[in-house]
Amino acid sequence: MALQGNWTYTTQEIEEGNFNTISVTYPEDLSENDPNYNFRGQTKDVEVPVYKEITETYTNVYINIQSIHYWKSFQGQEKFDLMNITYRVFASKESYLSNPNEYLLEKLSVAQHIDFSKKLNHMEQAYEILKNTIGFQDLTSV
Amino acid sequence: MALQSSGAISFSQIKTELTSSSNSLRALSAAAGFSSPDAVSEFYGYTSSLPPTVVTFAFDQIGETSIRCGGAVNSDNGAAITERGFYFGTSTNRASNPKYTVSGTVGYYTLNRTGLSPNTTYRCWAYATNASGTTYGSMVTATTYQVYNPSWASMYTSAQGVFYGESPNGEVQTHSASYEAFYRNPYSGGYVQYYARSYNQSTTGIYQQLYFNGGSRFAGSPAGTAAVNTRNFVRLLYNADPYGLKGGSVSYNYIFMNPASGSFSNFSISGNGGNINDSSTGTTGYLSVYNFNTSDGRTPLQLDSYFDYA
Repeated sequence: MALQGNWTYTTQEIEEGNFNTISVTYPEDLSENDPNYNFRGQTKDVEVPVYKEITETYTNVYINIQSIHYWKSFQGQEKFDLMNITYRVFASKESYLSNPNEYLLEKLSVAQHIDFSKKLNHMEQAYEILKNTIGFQDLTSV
Repeated sequence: MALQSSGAISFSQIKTELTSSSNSLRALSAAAGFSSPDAVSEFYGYTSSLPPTVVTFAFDQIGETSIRCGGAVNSDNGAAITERGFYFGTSTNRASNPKYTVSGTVGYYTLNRTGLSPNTTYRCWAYATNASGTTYGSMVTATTYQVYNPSWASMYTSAQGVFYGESPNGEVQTHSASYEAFYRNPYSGGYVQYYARSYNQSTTGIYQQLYFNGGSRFAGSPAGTAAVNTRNFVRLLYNADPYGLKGGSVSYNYIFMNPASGSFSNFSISGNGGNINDSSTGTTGYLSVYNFNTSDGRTPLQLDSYFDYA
């Protein structure tokens, strides 16, 4: 199980002093505890920082999940199953096969939710999460 | 003017009748639910476009109080995008969450959310609207980390000063050409680790210092913990660097560890890096690393100093 294709890795930096205005529409049924309760049913313009995106594109790489770390988050009476995914990016499948420790990059995707209703095992879900992450759209399962 | 009451009616006949009489057009269009049709196709409820195609990406850039939503309008399906954005919040009911509009049309887009509650599960749906309707991407879910405030020690490099305090788990808090530092939030799973990393893109003559001011760290447990299994060690990451800064080999390096007693402990590593453990280090001291040489002439060398408790 692995992913292969063109991969784009994006990091962000806040552009100091630059702001964008976005429109936020608050639902009518906000709870009284919500900090925006007074704006329920209203649309507001909000200033947000501008994030500069720095992208690096890797052509025809081979991405292999190195490990997954499964844990639980307790929120009051609720309990959520989460996992951190460590994945490695190799120059090619051949590179991976010849030496799994000769990777280009090792990255982490954290606090992703596990959905047992999907009837997929942890590793399958981990790959599904990666495939659904920005930058992984041009990768296919191999 | 009249419409034929029986027999076949051709499309062209209807079109002719409708377009020849404004009164009939108004009456018929009102009956059809249109207030002011501007095209025959609209009268018939026909459109050549479809609602947009939209996907929601998995959350990324997750921290204690921040998260990034991602989405993409893969196609406008024949009609211009008039609005796109996200529904984002804690409710499992999409419409019960605030809606954030994001400028743009087709293509991928993101929204950084900050000021969130720690250890809270958030949901997000990307959406986009064109003249034919609105499409909602599937719901994605992630949880922010629980806050962990390490108040029992400090560690900083010669270049940057105190580095931790607000850092989200395991993410690089500070970063420059010569250093980066972070700690790993225990609520991300596993154990607490504090890192200070000094490195330099140069390949020879590097002199980096990592200062420890760990009096309380060495003296006792962090608040709320029963026992501390402290270790203090230096790890020179080179070939086994988890961040991909690797290659070549180290021909020479040397590390001093200076505990509070003032006596130096000298360590030498050769080859492709390794670990040094020194559990006898005193309350305050510093580490110095100098004279790195690499064989490949490009690899950034690093000194990782960290301590943890089980």
